Amino acid sequence: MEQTNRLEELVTRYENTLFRAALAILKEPHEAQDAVQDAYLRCLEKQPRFRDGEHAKAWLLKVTANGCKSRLRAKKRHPTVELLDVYPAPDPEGRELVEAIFTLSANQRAAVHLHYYEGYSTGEIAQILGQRPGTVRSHLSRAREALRRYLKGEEP
Amino acid sequence: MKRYLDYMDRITVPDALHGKLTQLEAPAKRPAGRRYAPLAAALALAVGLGGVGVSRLAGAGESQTALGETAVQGAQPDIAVLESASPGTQPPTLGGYEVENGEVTSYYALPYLEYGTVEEQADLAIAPPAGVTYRYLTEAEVETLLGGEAAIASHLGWEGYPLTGHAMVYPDGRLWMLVLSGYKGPQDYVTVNLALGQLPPTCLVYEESVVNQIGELEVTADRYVGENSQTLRASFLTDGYGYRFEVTGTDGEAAALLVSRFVRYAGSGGLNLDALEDTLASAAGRPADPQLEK
Repeated sequence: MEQTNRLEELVTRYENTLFRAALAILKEPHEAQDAVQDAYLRCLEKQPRFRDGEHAKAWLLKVTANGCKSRLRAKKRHPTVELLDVYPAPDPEGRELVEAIFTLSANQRAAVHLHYYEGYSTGEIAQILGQRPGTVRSHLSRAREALRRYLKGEEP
Repeated sequence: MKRYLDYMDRITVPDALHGKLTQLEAPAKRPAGRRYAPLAAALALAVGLGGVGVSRLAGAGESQTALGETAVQGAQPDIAVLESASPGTQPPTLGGYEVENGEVTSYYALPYLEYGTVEEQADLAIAPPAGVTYRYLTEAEVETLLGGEAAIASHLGWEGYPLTGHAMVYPDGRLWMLVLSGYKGPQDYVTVNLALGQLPPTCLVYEESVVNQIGELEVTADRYVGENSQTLRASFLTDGYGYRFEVTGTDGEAAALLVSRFVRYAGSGGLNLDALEDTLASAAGRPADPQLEK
C-alpha cells in the first residue's frame, strides 16, 4: 500500500514534467510515453530514497533523459509521428519557434528545455544529463545561435 | 522563449498513460542464484558490465549506483547474487579491481575474453576516404574523452602512459575515426580507435578472431605473439559507437587485463563521448598536424 501511494504521488507530481522533457528530447509522443513509463518502472525497481521533492524530480528527469538517450541510439524505433500534429501550437509564431527548437540536436534540445522550461542552472543540467557543465554551456550557446539564425535575428 | 514555455505548459500526459503509470508494478525479481541463468555470460554482465560497481559499505546493505542514489537495503547488491550462485554456474572472470570514492569502495569484476591466435600480423596503414583530414588533439582533450585523469588510472589502468590523439574528419566536420593512444614505447602502448555507428575501419580481418558474448556485447578478440611482445585486440559495438582497442606489451597477462578493463569500462559507457562534439569543434580550428598527414 505504501509503495502504491508513493508511486501515485510521484506520478501525479511529475508525470507531466517527465513527459514534456521526453517530448523535447525525442520529438515523438509514443516514444516519449514509453520513456516516461520506463522511468517510473526504474523508480519502482530501485526504490531510491529522496531527500525532498526537488531531489525526486531531478532523479526522475535524469532517468528519463538516460532512457531517451538510449532510445535515440536504438536501431528500431516507433514510426515517427509529427509532434506538432499531435500537440499543435496555438499560433503561427509559436509553431515557428517550436519548429526551430526541434531542428536542434537532441543534446541542445535537452539543455534548452531543462534551462528555459524547467529553470535549471547549467550545473544542475550537467548532473541530470551526465555531462560536464562546459558541455552544457556549449549546447546552450550553440542552440541560441542556431535559433537566432533560424528565426532570422529575432530573440527567442 | 515564452512561446515555448506556453507550448509545453499546454501538453499533459494522456489519460491512458496516466492510468498505466498508476498501475505499474515493480519488475519481478528472479531468485538469487538463478537471476541471470542460464547464460553464465549474463552474470558476467551483471557483475562486470552493469555500469555500476558493487559497493561495500561496512555494516550497511546499501550501494551507490551510477546515478548517485542509494539503493534500498536488500534490493542489491550484485555481490549477493555471486555468493548464492550455484558452483559451476559462475562465468569466468579475470579478477577485478577496487576503486575508492570517499567512504565507498566499489568492486568491478573484469570479463574474461578468449582470444584467437593470429599467426602472422601485417603492418598496414588504413587509407581514409578522400577529403578526410587529420586534426591532432591535446593531451587534455584526450584525457577528457577517456573520462578524466582519475578514471584513466583507476578504471583503464593507463597510469603513466603519455596520451595522444587525433581525429580524422570529413570536410563537413563529421568524424570518420577517432584515435586515442597511450604510448610508452614501441613495445608498450595502448590504442583506441572509435567510429560512429560502426566498427572503426580496418584493412585486416583475422579469421582466427574469437567472438565473445559478454552480456549484450559481442566482443571480437585476437592475439598476436611476436618475438618480444604480444598484441591483443578487441572490437565491439555499443551505444552507437564502434570500438577497436589494441594493446602491445611484453607481458601477455598484463595486456589481457588492460583489454578486459577497457571492455568493461567502455561497454558501460565510461568514455566521455558527450565531449566529442566540442572537441571536434575545437580541433577544427587548429592547423592540421603535418606529421599525421604523411
